[in-house]
Amino acid sequence: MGAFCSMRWFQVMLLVGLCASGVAQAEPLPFMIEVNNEPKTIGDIKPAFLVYRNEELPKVSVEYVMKRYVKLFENAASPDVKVDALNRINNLSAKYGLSSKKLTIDKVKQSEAVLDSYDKIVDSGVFYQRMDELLYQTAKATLFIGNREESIKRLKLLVGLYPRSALVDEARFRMAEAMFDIGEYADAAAEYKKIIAFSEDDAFHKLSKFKAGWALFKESRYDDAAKLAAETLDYYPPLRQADSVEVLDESEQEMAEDTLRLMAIVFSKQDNAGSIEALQKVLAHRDYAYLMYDALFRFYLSQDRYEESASVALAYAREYSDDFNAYRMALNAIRSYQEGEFDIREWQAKEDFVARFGVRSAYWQGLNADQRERVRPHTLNYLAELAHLYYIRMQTASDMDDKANIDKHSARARDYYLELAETSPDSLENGRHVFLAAEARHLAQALPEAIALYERSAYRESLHGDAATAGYAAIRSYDRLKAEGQVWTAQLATQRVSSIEQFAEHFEPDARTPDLLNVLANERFDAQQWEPALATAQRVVAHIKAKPAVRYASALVVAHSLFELQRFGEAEMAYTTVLSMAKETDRVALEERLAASIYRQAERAQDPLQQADLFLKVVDKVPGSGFVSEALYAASAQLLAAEQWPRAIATMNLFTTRFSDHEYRRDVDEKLVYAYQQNGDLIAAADQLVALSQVYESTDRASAALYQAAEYYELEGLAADAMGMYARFIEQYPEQFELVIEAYDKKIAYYDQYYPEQAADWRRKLVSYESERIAVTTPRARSLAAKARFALLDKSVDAFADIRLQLPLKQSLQRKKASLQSLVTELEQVAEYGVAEYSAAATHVIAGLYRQLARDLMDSERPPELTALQQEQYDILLEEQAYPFEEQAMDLYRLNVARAPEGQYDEWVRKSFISLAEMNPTEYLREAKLPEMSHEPY
Amino acid sequence: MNRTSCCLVLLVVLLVGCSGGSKRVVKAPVVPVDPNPVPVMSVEQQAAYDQALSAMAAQQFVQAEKLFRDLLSAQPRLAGAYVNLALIERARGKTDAMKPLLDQALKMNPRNVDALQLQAHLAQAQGHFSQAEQYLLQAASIAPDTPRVHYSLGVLYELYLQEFDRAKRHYQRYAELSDADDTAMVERWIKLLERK
Repeated sequence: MGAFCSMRWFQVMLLVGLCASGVAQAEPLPFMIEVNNEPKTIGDIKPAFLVYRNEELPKVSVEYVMKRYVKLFENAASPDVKVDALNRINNLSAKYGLSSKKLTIDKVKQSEAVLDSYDKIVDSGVFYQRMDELLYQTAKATLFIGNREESIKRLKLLVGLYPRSALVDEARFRMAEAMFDIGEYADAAAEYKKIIAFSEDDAFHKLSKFKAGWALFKESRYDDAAKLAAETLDYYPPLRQADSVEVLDESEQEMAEDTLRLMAIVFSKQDNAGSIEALQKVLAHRDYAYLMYDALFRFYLSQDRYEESASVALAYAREYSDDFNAYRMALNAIRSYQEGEFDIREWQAKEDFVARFGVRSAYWQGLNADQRERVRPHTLNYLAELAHLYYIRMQTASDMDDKANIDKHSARARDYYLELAETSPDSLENGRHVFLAAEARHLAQALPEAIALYERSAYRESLHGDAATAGYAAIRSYDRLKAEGQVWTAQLATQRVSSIEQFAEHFEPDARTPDLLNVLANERFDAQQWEPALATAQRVVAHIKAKPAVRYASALVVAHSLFELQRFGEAEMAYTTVLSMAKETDRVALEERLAASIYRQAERAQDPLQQADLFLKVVDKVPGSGFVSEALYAASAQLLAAEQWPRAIATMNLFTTRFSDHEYRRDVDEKLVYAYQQNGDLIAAADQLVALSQVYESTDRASAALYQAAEYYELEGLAADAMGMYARFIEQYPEQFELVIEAYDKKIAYYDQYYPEQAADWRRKLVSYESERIAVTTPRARSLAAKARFALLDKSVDAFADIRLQLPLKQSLQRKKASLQSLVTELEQVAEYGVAEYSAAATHVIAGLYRQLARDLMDSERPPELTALQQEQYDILLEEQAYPFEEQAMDLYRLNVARAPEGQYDEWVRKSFISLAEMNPTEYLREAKLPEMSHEPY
Repeated sequence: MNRTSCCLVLLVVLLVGCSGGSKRVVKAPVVPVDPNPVPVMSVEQQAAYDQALSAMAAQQFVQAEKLFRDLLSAQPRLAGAYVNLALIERARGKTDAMKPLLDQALKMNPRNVDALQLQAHLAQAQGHFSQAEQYLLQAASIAPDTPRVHYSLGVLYELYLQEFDRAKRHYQRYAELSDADDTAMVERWIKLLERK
């Protein structure tokens, strides 16, 4: 502040706007001062007129105006005019900072001229009402020319002569100032205090206080000086609790700043912060605490006294830790250490800063949102520096294998990185910071902690450039934990899997994803977690960045898992795929699995034909598989079930060709018989049966096979072969009673057809065979034996009929009766078989024999020598002989027809009916009465 | 002869066949019901039917058969035509061909008495006496006054089922109903039966 400025001194105001210098131009200016007429007084100096043309302002320089006033001062006759002119010159000079060099007027000469003029006025004794002012001006002029003592003298005169003058305060002040200037500080201080004490007008109060303070300081009265300075500040109420003088108007700031500087100097002379605190006790308030500490801090800093400045700042930060501005002081301390290059202290200060003002501090909790935003950048900055510092230290310790320090520095680095993230929760850098914290802990081998931090960095912070690396590092840390034999729990194992899943989910395109998933897939497979293993491995296979070996490994898991899950169709496709990339060493096993996959599908198929196709697919796709024999066998069974005879036959023939010694061979051979049989290929079936009959250990099975073969040959028209086979059967298996009987029957039928003369032989053999095994005989055997035995009598019956009753009748009748007796005996034996049909047959034939005998008797040769009467008597005798035979014949026929109501109405019963109808029409001939035509259409 | 007699005695024992009485319970015949309306023939169709009967009577079996088959193609439900076709086959000695035609006739009209009687005849020839009995009883229930139905029942009971009381009743009914000249013969059979 210009200490010598006076309000009164400048109260006359320039009425014109001032601009750059320049002479009026020919062209009328838009705004101009008429200066052509010489003014009589200063009041006369005014614009004659104003022309406003919306053009540039007039170019009138302040130098020009000054020159005009100087000229007025030099030429004016009136003392009043001279005083006013001089005031204005000084005023302009002060206002625009013009040096005398820029003026044509010489300062000293000017002042001398003034003094001379004033002296003349004073000396003239003429009463002037403005004498106090003239004294004041002369004092000032005296000072101006360097005569301080004279100036003081004149001012004292003014104060003494004109104590009620309005200029007294200023005069006293200038007097104090002059005293101060010449080093009379005690006097100066006294004068300043008088102003404060006696002046009613407070215009000089604060300046006086300030200067008094200075003066007392000069007198080493520091406490008083400080107190006065503090009282000076009281003139500026906004400064209370302020942290800067900028709360004041710009015009007031310099004064306040000077005052604070004075205080700083005072405190620096004393006990620094201690003095501030002492002063505040005196003042009984701490309104200016920050300003004072700040001033003292800056004072030291300006003098490059860094330790002191830092000490002051830290003292504030410590003493006023609850004050928001404490952080600023802490910053100041750091700044001091930085500028002073006190590195260790600087780091310590930063650590203190973070501790005191960071997000975890009580201080931070007390801040509002705006305040936090002001503190946060600094905290972040120092946290970053500190984190980095400890990280470097940790690495250095690691290089030196200094384990103790590795852990210590690692922990500190971690703390700072994490607090860094905590301080700015929304920062995009947090992920990286947490990652570095994790790295730090990893280096210190704090693996569980490192894992947690890696995972946080990877998955719970904003995405960052190291996120994937962090995620991968977490998984690697799990692996390291496990590999190094540290405590490995089920929970850790679960967490590791979860970590891999997270990595794959978050960083799916990452080239490491397929590697990790492949490991996981294989582990899951080993743990028999088929579904998860499958899902995981499928992701690997589908991953574009999967390396061939990894893809192959996972493709194996896919295929094996599908197989274990019994999803055999998919497993088949998977094995086919994996075989396309398989190593030679794996190929055989994989082909076997492929075969098994298809085989299992076949087992599960519902439709027999579909099953067969799938079994055969095994053979086609993996012809060398161990499943082929089973597949062929199963396929043939299904083809048989599906009645696909030709395919079944082909399949079974392939089986027998490839697996001739297989345990299923016998079964397949038997099924082949069935297939041939169903396919209508009975000769092939017979050949197969003959072959089987030769290998069966069981006689029953061997004989049955041989017999069936004979039947098939017979059915196919190979009668000779069939007969040979039956003969062989009879010879080879005589104990197979039922089949031997049937074989005999077959032989009889064959010989009846082709060699009738030999048929009787086979009938006798049958009858003989059956009679020898009566204990095991069967109704069927009985029937066939009865039939054979009955048929053997045909010729005897014919022979009986051929015996004619000739003369001599006794002999021929004897022969015929003998034949009858023999035949009846034979027929009775037929009846003894108990077979209804042949019993009826025997009955009918016996009846026929009796009827034949009766008829033959009646037709017998008559003796020629009989007379007519004798002949008639002879006929009566014959009738009497014949009649009982007829009666007996009819009785036997009746026996047969009596079988009809019981349901036996075979050939022989029917014949008996006919015979009875012939012999007794009244009782047995009944013509049918049937409609000849149906007249009713409906 | 003694030997022969002994043999006969033995045969009687061995070949025993029961000629038992009529204690058998005869199942009541299921009287068939024809759910279908009687087909209505046009004048031309009736004429063609009559023409076919005439051809049949003249043993012009080919013509008769053609006429009946033509009629059946227009009127498939003419059971009488099927019966006549069966009779034509019988006349030709093709007894085996009768049954399908009679089956068809009874399918068209289950109450056709001629068809039932002819079916009974075929069954009896095959030894299926109970079946024959059922056919005839059905016929008798539908047409109780048809003499030949009773005659056929009499023969069936007399010869094949050997239930003489039943045979006698049906013969008697025949004798009552029939105006043929063989009723005296049938009455002799009744007397013979009465002696059994």
